[in-house]
Amino acid sequence: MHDQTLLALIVLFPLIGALLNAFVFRHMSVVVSCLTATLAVAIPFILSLILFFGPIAKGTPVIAELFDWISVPLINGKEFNISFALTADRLSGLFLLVITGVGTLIHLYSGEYMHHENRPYRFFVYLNLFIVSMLLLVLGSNMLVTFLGWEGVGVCSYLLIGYWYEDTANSMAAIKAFIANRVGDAGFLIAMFLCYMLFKTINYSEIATIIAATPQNFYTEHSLEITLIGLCLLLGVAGKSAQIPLYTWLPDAMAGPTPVSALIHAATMVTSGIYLMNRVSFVLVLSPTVMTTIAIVGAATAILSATIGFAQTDIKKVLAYSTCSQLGYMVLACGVGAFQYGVSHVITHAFFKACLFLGAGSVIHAMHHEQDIRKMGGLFKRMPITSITFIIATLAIIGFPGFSGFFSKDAILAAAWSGPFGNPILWFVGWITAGFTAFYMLRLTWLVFFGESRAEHPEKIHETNYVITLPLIILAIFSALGGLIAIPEVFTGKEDFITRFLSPVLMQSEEILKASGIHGNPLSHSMEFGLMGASIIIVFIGALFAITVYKNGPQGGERFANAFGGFYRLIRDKWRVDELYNLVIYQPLAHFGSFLYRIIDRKVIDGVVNGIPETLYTGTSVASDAQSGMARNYLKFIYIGVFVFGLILFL
Amino acid sequence: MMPSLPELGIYFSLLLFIVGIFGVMFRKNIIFMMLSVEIMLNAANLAFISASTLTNTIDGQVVMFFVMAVAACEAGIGLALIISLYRAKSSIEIDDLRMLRG
Repeated sequence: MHDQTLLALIVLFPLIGALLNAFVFRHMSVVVSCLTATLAVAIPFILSLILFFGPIAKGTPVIAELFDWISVPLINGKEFNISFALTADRLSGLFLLVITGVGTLIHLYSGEYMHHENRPYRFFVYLNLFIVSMLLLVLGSNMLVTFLGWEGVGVCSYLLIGYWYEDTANSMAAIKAFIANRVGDAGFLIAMFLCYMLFKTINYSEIATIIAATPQNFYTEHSLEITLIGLCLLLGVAGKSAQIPLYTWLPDAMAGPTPVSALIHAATMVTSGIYLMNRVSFVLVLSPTVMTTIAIVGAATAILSATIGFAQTDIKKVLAYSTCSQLGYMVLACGVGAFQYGVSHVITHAFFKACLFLGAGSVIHAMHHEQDIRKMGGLFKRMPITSITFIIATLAIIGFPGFSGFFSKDAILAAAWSGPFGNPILWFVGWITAGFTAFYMLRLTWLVFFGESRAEHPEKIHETNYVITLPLIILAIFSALGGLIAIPEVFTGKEDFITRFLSPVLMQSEEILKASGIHGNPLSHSMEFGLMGASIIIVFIGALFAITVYKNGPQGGERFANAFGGFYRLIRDKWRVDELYNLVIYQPLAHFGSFLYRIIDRKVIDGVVNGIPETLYTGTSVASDAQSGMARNYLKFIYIGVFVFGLILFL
Repeated sequence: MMPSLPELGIYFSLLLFIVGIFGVMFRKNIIFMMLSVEIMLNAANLAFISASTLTNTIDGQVVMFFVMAVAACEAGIGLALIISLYRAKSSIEIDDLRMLRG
């Protein structure tokens, strides 16, 4: 089979799965729905493997031009042409594997997690559509196809977060996610328009060719446009990848079923920002302003959401803020110019975050929908598989030496110090964040799995079945080993895998940096070991501190909270950012809206709309009263008319 | 100086016409209204004759004959209408006949 056909099939299968579930298997059992949906993602996973280890690994991108999408003749005689084309190169190849691989496990898991639902087929339709959109996003050859997927994941996340839509809070969370994403989408759209204005094309490879032809032209003459494009793209990234200022939707997105959280947080939506920044890296590096802004946004998001993680009591909320924080790391990596480490952290994060979320789901399932970690504890004895996999993933996320998160996070921290736009302050923020991460993750793990059980009926809690534990085990193995893709040079003596693997994609941005004289400061090996040692130390400090404080259950945390008082309340209330947005954005908009309603809508528009018929009605009733049926009245009118007419003629 | 006879005729016709108008407007009995219409027609005839004398032409006098013919027809048809109206409504008061209203 042609590689192009394979590529098209990868997108087609989940779509067929969604359609089958939506229209054919509506009334079948959950087993049928789940198997259809899982196969619809598992087959593309196998196809992705074939493509990945075939042409993509060899270095030849697979390009499938499916059909002419938009074709408009322009007035200057040229034609505006956008074809629906898919490109799988090394970057999208990696994402393909993560999306379909982790996606398959999450689909499988959902079969057990959602089996008691009334109409689970609806859930699987949305999940499959989510995968289709995400695949389009990473495979699009031009910005418009990417935007189609970009919008698609937005819609699917809205549908999935609000899956239990009978509950108002869930619907509100879905709406919030959708609106925050729309703000970001506006940024992406504007960036796309600006790209077309500047380059007369929105095809990634064509833009790359244009920039490669005259790079210096873009620093000098078009630096303003490039900066604008970069900042608008950053807004889009902030919306999808939950960065400041648009991160508030992600924790609220916990309202959806747990597999959804895993899918959104690990494999799909939130990684699309990192993907996009890699894809357009050659545009971003043209503007140091943009790169610095990206790095600062990433670092700020990382540390801000890590602090919020300290005080959350909902197991999924803690994980949600940890996602924000880890995404901050990835954005920081892109911002300092180490795009490939953003990708490697996306991949390791996909494994351990999916494992954490599915593990949390397993706990919630076993605890009969109890999500408050203060009411858990001592689950290690009762749920050994879930506990061990969860702990492995925790070790991975905090960057315990040897686990995957250690290598991918260390690579980011080293780049934050030494990268082209790196800076010791950025490193310091990332370093502190690593300690914070260790603290809140260990707090979570300790309160859930160790100590005395604080559940009402601890004896009823037991391990969930293999449909749930199997994905956990697979993900835990990858959480432990996934770091192999980013083992740094100091250990192996050669450049790390991810840098080598992505170098064809990122080559152009490196050349641009080199040409413009911006370069990183290569770290000496002793310095690199020093940085690594520093991050190991802070991780251990954070972890031990958490265990010391929480070894006797949540009371330790309360003493801690009393010691900090107001500051603790501030972070428990998530820095009151939602309240700030409410005050600064929502309230003025609501007042403006009610002004529009009361004055413009009710008075002006309703006034005009109702006024016209009212005037006509009054006018006609006067006119119809004139037709009194009394001959003498008619005569009067005739005489008056003749008189007036005569007067006019006479004058 | 006194106006000439034809001029006086014009003024008189105006007066007669106004009398006719007021008769039509303020009388309630259909027969009297018809009489008033006849007065108006006669006023018009007088105006035609006076004008024809003033301008030394014969046209006005010819038109007068036509008007008299039309007035005769009108009187005949009108009286017939009044009789059938009286049969239908037992009244010849104009205000009782207001079936054609909006």
